[in-house]
Amino acid sequence: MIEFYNVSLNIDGKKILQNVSFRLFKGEFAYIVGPSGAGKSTILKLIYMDIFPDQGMVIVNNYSSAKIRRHEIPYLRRELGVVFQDFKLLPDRNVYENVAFALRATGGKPREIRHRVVRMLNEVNLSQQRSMLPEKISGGEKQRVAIARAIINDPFIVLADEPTGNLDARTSREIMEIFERINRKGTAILMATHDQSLIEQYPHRVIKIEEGRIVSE
Amino acid sequence: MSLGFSIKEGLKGFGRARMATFITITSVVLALIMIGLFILLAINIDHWVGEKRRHLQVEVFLEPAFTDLQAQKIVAKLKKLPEVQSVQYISQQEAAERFKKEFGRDVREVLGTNPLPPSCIVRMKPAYQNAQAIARLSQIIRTWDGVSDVVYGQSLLKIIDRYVTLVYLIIIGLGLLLLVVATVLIHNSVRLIIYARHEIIEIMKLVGATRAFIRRPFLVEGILYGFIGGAIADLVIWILVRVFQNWVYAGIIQNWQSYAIVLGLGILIGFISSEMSVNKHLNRLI
Ligand SMILES: Nc1ncnc2c1ncn2[C@@H]1O[C@H](COP(=O)(O)OP(=O)(O)O)[C@@H](O)[C@H]1O
Ligand SMILES: [Mg+2]
Repeated sequence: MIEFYNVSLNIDGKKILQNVSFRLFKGEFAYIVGPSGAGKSTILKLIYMDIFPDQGMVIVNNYSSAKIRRHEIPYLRRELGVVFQDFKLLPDRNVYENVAFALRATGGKPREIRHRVVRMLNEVNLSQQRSMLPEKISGGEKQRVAIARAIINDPFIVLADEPTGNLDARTSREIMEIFERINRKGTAILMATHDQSLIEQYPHRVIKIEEGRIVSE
Repeated sequence: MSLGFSIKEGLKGFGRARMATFITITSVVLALIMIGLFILLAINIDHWVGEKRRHLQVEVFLEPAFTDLQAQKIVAKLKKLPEVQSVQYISQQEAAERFKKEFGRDVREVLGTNPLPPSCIVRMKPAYQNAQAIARLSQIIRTWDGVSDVVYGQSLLKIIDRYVTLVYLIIIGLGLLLLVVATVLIHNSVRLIIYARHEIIEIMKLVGATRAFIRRPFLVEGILYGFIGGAIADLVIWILVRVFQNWVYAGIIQNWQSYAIVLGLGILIGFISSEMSVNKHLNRLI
């Protein structure tokens, strides 16, 4: 469960978000839509608590932006999965290791890591490419690696910041199908995008934002 | 959490940024070599000063007409003084023998008589091996009946006493300065390495790695820099000492502790500097 209570944020005197309030329920699929610079990425950053509101409060499961301690943030992030437009893969290790990294960096046991990575790679249809380096695979495949890494810790939600921004229409649909599948298994999805045609093909709740304000739900 | 991951990542990072690694280790080696040579210099100065002090002696010349029996009284009196470690009596005959040994001619043959007076060589206890104590003692002995003169290496003593503290302070100061330089060098390199690896740090943060976990590979890396830098510095110092002993001065002394200190300092500054820069730069990233 995610709740924004009257969240306002200023950076260098500039109003980035003003009075943003919304709730996202368990297992929901929602888009954050708006022109570039509207504040979509900022909202996602507030959720994984990379930044904090100046006013108001963000609540993510049992964590509140008003009360969370710095050492608790890693544990909050283990309950989330995050995916970006630019994939953020480690170029020096192969597909398998990129996915395994999320478990290794959080202290997973070797045996369990292998088991779960294999399962995740199956989930996103990447078993064949497991030992390839990121530079050798296509954009769509890279995003699937990123998704596998995001869901390997069984998050309750996947935050996706324009995940199809670098992909062509057909590949975008492939990615959307994966998100749909993940969502059907009970994981919530919050996706920032400005791709109107995708929203029409995969209709879900839309939170529309302009210049840091929610203009329609 | 597995330490294996930290060590593996630390080693990986170490091998990855080859140029940065090379520059860092080179600068650390240079700084540590200087520190090591300074330690050796300090040891040698200390040794030299100690030797000089140990060999400090006060020569007490007695009346030439003194019989050995009379002289023995003075010797006993000297031995009772609290500052005195040992007293060696040199009779007229012995003085002549020494003269002969030193100058190759027998003074008794040349002059037909022995003009050399009997004397006592007085050595001081370590606590009194300084100019002040020796001067004070000489003053006292000089007033004794039967003592004609008291002689000691006054100028050398004064020089040692005046400059030794200063020299030590300079050595310690320069040593500390070098230590700071080495720390700054590693600190700087680790900072560069962290910037070069902001990608992996960012991803670690995203997937929920703890701060301690993110830091550990960098600490491993920093310690490794220090250790390798220290080991190479030790090797170079050892070779330099060898060359110096063979070509310049064989009497130079060294001990294993100085090598251990160089290695230990390397590891310590590796740890401290990477700790500092990881702390500082982890917060700024992303
Ligand atoms: N670190 C920052 N410093 C200053 N301004 C920022 C920073 N991050 C974002 N902004 C500003 O905040 C606004 C919203 O940014 P963002 O959330 O990235 O928009 P979107 O993702 O909708 O394109 C933009 O005007 C952007 O310039
Ligand atoms: Mg954005």
